[in-house]
Amino acid sequence: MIRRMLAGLVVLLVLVTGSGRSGLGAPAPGETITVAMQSDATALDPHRTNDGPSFLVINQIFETLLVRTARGLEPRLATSWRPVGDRTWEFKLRRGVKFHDGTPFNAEAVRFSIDRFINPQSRARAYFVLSMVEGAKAIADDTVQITTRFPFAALLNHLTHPSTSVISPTAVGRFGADFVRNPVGTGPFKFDSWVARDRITMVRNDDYWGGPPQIARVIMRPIPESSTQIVELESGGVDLIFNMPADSVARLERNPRLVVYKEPSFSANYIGFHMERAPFNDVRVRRAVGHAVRVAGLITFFLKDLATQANGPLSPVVFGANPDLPGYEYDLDRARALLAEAGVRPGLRPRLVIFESAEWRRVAQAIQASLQPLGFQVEVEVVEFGTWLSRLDRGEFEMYGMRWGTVTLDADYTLYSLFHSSQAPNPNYSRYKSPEVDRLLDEGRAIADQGRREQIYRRAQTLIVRDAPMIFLYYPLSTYAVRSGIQHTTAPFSWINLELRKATVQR
Amino acid sequence: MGRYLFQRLSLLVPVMLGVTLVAFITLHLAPGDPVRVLLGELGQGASQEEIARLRSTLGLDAPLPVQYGRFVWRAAQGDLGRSLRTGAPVLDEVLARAPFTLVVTVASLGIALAIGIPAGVLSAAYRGSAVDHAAMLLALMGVSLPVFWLGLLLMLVFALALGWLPASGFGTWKHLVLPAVTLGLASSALIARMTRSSLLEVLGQDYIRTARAKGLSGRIVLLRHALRSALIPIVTVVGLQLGGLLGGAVLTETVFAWPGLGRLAVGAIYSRDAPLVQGTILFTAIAFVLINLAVDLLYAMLDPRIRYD
Repeated sequence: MIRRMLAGLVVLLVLVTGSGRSGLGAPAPGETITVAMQSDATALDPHRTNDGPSFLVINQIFETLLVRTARGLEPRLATSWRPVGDRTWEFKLRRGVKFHDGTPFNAEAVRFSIDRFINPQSRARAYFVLSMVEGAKAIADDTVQITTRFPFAALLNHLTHPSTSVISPTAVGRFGADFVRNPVGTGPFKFDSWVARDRITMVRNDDYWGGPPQIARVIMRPIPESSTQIVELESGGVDLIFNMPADSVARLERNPRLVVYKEPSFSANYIGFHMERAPFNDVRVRRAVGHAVRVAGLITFFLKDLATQANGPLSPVVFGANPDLPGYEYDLDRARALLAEAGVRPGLRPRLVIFESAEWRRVAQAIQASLQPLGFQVEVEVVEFGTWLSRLDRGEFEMYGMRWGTVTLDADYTLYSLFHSSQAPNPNYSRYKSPEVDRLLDEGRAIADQGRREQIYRRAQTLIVRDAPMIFLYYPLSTYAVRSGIQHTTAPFSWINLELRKATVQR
Repeated sequence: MGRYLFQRLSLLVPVMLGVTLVAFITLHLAPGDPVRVLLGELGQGASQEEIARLRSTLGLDAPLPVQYGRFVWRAAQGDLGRSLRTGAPVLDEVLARAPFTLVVTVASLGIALAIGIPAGVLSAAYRGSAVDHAAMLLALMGVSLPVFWLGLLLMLVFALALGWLPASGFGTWKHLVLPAVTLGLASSALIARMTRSSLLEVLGQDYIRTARAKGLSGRIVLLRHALRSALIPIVTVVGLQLGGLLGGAVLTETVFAWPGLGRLAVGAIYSRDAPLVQGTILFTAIAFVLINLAVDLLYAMLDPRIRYD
């Protein structure tokens, strides 16, 4: 033990006293982009992780069969796809692609990846993403078929989730369990090194099938404090930060050396109700809350316009989102009338349970103030994330604040999880049970016709908004700030999808 | 002396059992299911069966006494288990992070001593003067400033406004300056106050009067005769501070994104990563015991009247 510590100390001293740069070998020629993330990645094996920072890194090193852009589903490692029967999809794969270790990318590699992902031995953290998959079969070198256990329409969208990235079979054989620290994929950047809690370095993949990226190196640094991230960005220590606090965005926008991007995200923020417990077991009381919250004011004053008002559970970028939902208009008289009709007397003290974050604190305050005129004394309970989850599981709340991201960008992912009766109490925390919505959601995931699916999901959302298991507040924007010399970065729908393939740097 | 050392070191065993048991119990008393936390915000789509499956593969479905028993049994064989979150061996994680915290701690202690002792000596020597008042006012401020705030302030000045030092992270000696100064300033204030009061007490004693009466210069009396005797309470405070600095590293490491034990522990607590929490606590407890032992041994060197036979 002492020997190991001494060895660590020696390495540290060499690094600390070493020659200027971080001692990670000769920098590749060309420019480096340094990105701050809130915490360190946990594992760089796509099958062994399910958190934002890990996916941010994985998305640079690995690729999925398909990607979802503003235009819809697009090819990535698969070039085309077609249904074969009602439980199987066939994919044509991109030719001439190689993994970073030289292994050819082919149908066998895809089969290997999928089988490893769904194998219980793999302990895949994001297993739920492909839990409906029965198996994969290599038909030809560039053709693979994936079969589900039941007809499952959203499979294509699930294959855009970073956990389904295709990994190098040779590298898995070589590194075994250490693949989590030696990731080998087909992506535009190759893994170089990982100093835990300090930095993950990636270098350009010169053989990238889409043409080598312009930038030579990407460094991702975990910096937990957002004030520190901002100082680093302004002083040039990092080039890009995500999800700045609402208060600082205006100041960063005034800085001529920075550019702030705000893009629509796949997330939505809700206030949910415990539907099996008074007073919110009465739909009139839930609707009254919906009419009492002035969401527009909340967005302007508390969120500095970094969100758009929600009318339903799905952000408009999600497939199947219903843009025509009426939502709940701010109308205090109507809210009072609904409460009177339900026979609710003033003086109730419902608990609103939220998890610790500056944003939720503000939202909770706004809700508290909004419900005061109705005679509700809302008791806000701020807990950390782990506690919040178990409070929700055990039903220890009357109201709860929640953010949900439709990671696959398909309505099924969110609607089935949050509103199908089989998913209560978790993640259907509201304990919402509607036979009609159940039927629609079962049908929506089973049929392949996307046009019909869209109609089904629109109908389901209309029913959900009518029943108000939650009030839908807003769709947060995904924000990031970049040093102004850096161009052509995108982060579609979420910071974890940061794309640096086409990024350029002029200092 | 050998026997004394053995006795003190054998105390480590109950201490280790005690702290890990307390850590284990508090972690499990705190609400929050490690499996759900592990799946995280992005993993809320996981079904009940999937959660149960992950729970059993992680060995978290066993009764708590069994889980703790397993931990102790493996720890006795030098295996602290694997982190629930990353799957990496806990011992490796802790040993890899420890040097980072050690470097900051030692550097900040150096700064604390370099500022604290001279300030304390000056204050005592010019008791009641403007120098004394100024030094003690600064010390009071130093003790009262929250590390978090001081860290951000130093960062704004030296990284953003002046651009002399990097704001955060780790790499060159320059990266060490701000975290070490931030941590060191607060301790230096305490050490200065302790030095002053301890020195004043000694200066009132008979042998100091004798030394002065012999005609020795004030400087020699102060630094050679008085300071050495006054050092014992100072060493005690420094020893305690060293432990405190290890703990204070939690905040400093977070502000400065320094990859040490403090951040490891905080992250582990948030993710209900029991093996990792126990590992870091165990390590810190051992360090604490060893520091205390070193302090006690130092007493004997400073004061020949103290013997450990």
